[in-house]
Amino acid sequence: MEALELLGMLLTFAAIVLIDMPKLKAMANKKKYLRVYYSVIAAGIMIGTLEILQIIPDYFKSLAYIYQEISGIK
Amino acid sequence: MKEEQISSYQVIMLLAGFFLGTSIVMNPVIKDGADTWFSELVSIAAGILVISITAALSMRHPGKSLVEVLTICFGRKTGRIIGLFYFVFATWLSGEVILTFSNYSNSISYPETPILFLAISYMLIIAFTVKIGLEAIGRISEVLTVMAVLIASIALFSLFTDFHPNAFLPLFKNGIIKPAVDGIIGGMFPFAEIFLVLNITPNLNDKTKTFKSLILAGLLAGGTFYLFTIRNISVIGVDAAARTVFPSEKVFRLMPGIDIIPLLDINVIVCGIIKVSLILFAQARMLGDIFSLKEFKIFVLPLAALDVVVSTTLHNDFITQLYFAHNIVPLLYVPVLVAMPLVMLIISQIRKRRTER
Repeated sequence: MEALELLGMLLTFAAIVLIDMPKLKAMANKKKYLRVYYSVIAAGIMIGTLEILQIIPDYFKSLAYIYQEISGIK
Repeated sequence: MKEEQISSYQVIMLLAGFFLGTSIVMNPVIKDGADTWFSELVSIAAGILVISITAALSMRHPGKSLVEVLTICFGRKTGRIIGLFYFVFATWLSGEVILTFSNYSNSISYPETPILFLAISYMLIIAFTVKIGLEAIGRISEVLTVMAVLIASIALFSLFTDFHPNAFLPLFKNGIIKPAVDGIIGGMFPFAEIFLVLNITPNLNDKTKTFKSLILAGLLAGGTFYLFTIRNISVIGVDAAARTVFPSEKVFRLMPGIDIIPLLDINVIVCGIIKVSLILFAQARMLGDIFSLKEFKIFVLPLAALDVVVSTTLHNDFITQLYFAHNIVPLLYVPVLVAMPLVMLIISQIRKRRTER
C-alpha cells in the first residue's frame, strides 16, 4: 500500500513537471526558474514521503503542552 | 509580463469570499453560548481594526506586494528571509483550509470518499483558477460570493418562523469581560489573514480605494457570519448549537419539504475555493518576489501539489482540527498577522516622517 502511495505521488509530480517543462525551457532566466521549481518539487516529494512512511511526528501532540501553558486552555 | 488588474468591487467580493472561506463552518457558540451575539460584534470590530492595519500598510506602499513591503521595511536580505517565513505560513494555511473543507464534504456529503481524493479534486479546480489569472478569479468571485451571500439570506428568511429570541436569554450570564475577550481573540480568525492579501492589492486598478475596499469586504463577511451565528442560535437553541460540529448543516436540514443541504455545500465549496485560490496566488507571488522571478505563475502547479501533501500531514481527525482552529490558531495569528503588520506600519510611518524632514 505504501509503495503504491509513493508511486502515485511520484507520478503526480512527474506529470506536473512534464506539463510545465515546455514553458520552463522557454523562460529567459531558465536556470534560476528551474532551481526554484525543482526545490518546490523536492520539498513536496520529501514531505510526502515522510508522511507516507509515517516518519513525521504528530506536531499537534508535540506542541499541545506548550500551547496549553500559553493559553491556559486544557 | 502584463500586470493583471482587478476592480475594487471585485476585491470586495474576492475578500468577502476569502474571509467566509472555512469560517462558514466554524462554530463560535461553543465558547460564549447565548452571549455569542455580543462576542461576534466585538469580533467584527476587532477584525476591522486588524484589517485597517494591513489596509493602511497597503496605502502607505501602493503597488508593492508583501515581500516588497518587507524588503522596504527590513532591508533586502532580512525582508526576503521574513518573506520566506510567510511563504511557509501560507503553505500551512492553504493545507489547513483545503483539509477543512475536504473534511466537511467527507462528513456531510461524501462519507465514503477518501479525504485525499476530495482534496486533490478541489485543488485541481483551484490550480486551474489561479493559472487562468487574478482577473478571472475576480470575475468568478463577483458572481459566486454574491451567490453565497444570497444562499445565506434565503436560509435566514426561510426559517424566520422558527426563530426563538428567548434563546439569547439570560444576557451576559458570564459577565461582559469573557465574551469581549473571546470576541477580540475571535477577530483574529479569519480577519487577520488579510495580511497575505497584500499580494493582490498591487493589482487593484484604483489604488486609492484600497482602504475602503478592504474594510467593506470585512464588514460584508463579518455581517454574513454574524447572521449565520444569530440564525443558528435562535433556530436550534444555544445548547444544540454549542454541541453540534456543523450547526449550519443542522439548521439547513430543518427546512420543511425541500432538501437545501446542497446549497450549503455550494457555499462552503465556493468560499473555500476562493480562499485557497487567493492563498495559492499569494504563495506563487511570494516565491517569485523572494527569488526575483517575474513569471511566478509557473510555480502554481507544484505549489498546489505541495499544499495537498502538506494537508495530509496536518491533523488525524476533524475534531482535533476544530480544537486547533478555535483555541490555538488565534494565538498563533497575534504575532504573525497582527504584531508584524503593526511593526511594519510603525517603521513605514517613521521613515515617512524622516523623509519629510
